[in-house]
Amino acid sequence: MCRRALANARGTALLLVITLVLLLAAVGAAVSVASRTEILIAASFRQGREAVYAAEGAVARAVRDLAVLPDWNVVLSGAVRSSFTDGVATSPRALPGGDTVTLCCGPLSLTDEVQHRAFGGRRWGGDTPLWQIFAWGPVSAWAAGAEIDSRLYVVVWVADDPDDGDGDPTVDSNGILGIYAQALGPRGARRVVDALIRRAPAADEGPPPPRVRILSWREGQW
Amino acid sequence: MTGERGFTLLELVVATGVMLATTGALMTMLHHGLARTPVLEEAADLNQRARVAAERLAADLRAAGSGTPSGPLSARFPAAEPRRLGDAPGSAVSDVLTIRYVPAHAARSRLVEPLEPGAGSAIIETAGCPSQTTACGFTAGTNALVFDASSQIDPLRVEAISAGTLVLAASVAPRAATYPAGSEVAEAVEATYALDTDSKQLRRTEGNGTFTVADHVEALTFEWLDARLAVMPLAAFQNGPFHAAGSRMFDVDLLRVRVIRATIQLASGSGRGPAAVARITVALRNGG
Repeated sequence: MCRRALANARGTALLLVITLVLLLAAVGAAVSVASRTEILIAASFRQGREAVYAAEGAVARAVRDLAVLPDWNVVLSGAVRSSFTDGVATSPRALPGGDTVTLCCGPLSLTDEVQHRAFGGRRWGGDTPLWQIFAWGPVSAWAAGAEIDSRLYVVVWVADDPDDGDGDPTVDSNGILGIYAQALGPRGARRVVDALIRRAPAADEGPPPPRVRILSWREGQW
Repeated sequence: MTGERGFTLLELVVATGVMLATTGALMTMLHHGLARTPVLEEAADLNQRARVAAERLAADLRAAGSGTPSGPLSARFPAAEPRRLGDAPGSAVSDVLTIRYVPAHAARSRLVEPLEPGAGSAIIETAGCPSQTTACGFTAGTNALVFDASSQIDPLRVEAISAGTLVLAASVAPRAATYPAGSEVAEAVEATYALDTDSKQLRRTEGNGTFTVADHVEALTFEWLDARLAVMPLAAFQNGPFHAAGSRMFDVDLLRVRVIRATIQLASGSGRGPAAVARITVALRNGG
């Protein structure tokens, strides 16, 4: 047995090759992990930047739509939506990256989350803002005919300003509206921009469409 | 073992040669790779520091000047200034930036009674404030601003609260004016970015706290641009006319700033590796 095994002792080369291959594989794997980690960090950073700008763009687009509406009560009641919508808001949406969300309404929907998180979850009794979904859709569908290379999905909500003190979150009594925009992307990327806008006083109004003034514009927390 | 054939000399020489060549090539590759590893690590670290610094600064700049339902702060006060809050009003340097804004979900209210310069407490309106708050969301330790329609502005620090009353700390700069009833009180962020030339750290100071944003920063420069994107000289912020009074007095030319450009020059940790320059240009969203 021993003699036969030694007679066929051809394993030296194999051992050598296996050792070299393992060594090379280890070096390659280490380099690959290091470079891939750096690429992922850079990609995550880029995606975050893109999401912030997408959320800002969504707010800007919502402001444009709101500026031409003579009455914001129709938005606060949910009767009128933006011109930028992507089908029915109540049906589930597949987000880039594989997640599925229900935009509106009811428990576990994105609107329900916003209702609890916007304004830091604070409540003003009868004036507590009631967030209405206003605009939603993929960023790639923003400009008709133009090609926007983005996998982000944006959603915008609007709500009455609690300072108006009228006790009804579906009625705007002071010409001030809150806007809350989210951009959702792959790998759980999510960025929020919230803004407060006011219809310009009549004396300031120029030619139609009526102007809207930004009172505050901030990158929000999620 | 008798009769076993051994290796010939030629086989051994060839095998040894092949092995030496292969091992030599591998070792050379490893040597180069290992020699470059610190450089790669430093480059990754450099990039990450640049990203963090740029991201932090940009987020603050985007929020700069945001205000309350009465209007953006930047309509009446500078969203940003080229000086530390402790510097004399009217001073301006190129490597310091102070940003001012009312953050999201900020506590805010209005004075019910006038606030005298030396008063130790402020009485605020509680009607219309969020429910289940004692003093409209203000808490002990809140940094705030009090301001009125005449462009007077002063910092406040809340030491304690009771129903509708803010007990004010005496440690902040003395107020320069009497604020009439109806003046706004809002939780606010006043943060200063500056380069510590000794430690070469970019630091952000807010209230009594300072934290390091980036290490190994060689140089920091801020440029101030107006609505036509023309760079405004620092002298424009020093020659008046001035508004407000006391520690927050400001040159009115600061209200014309619409864009801020920051250039951060970073070095590698060892000082021998690569260098990087992070340059961000941010249009002030709350432009007044």
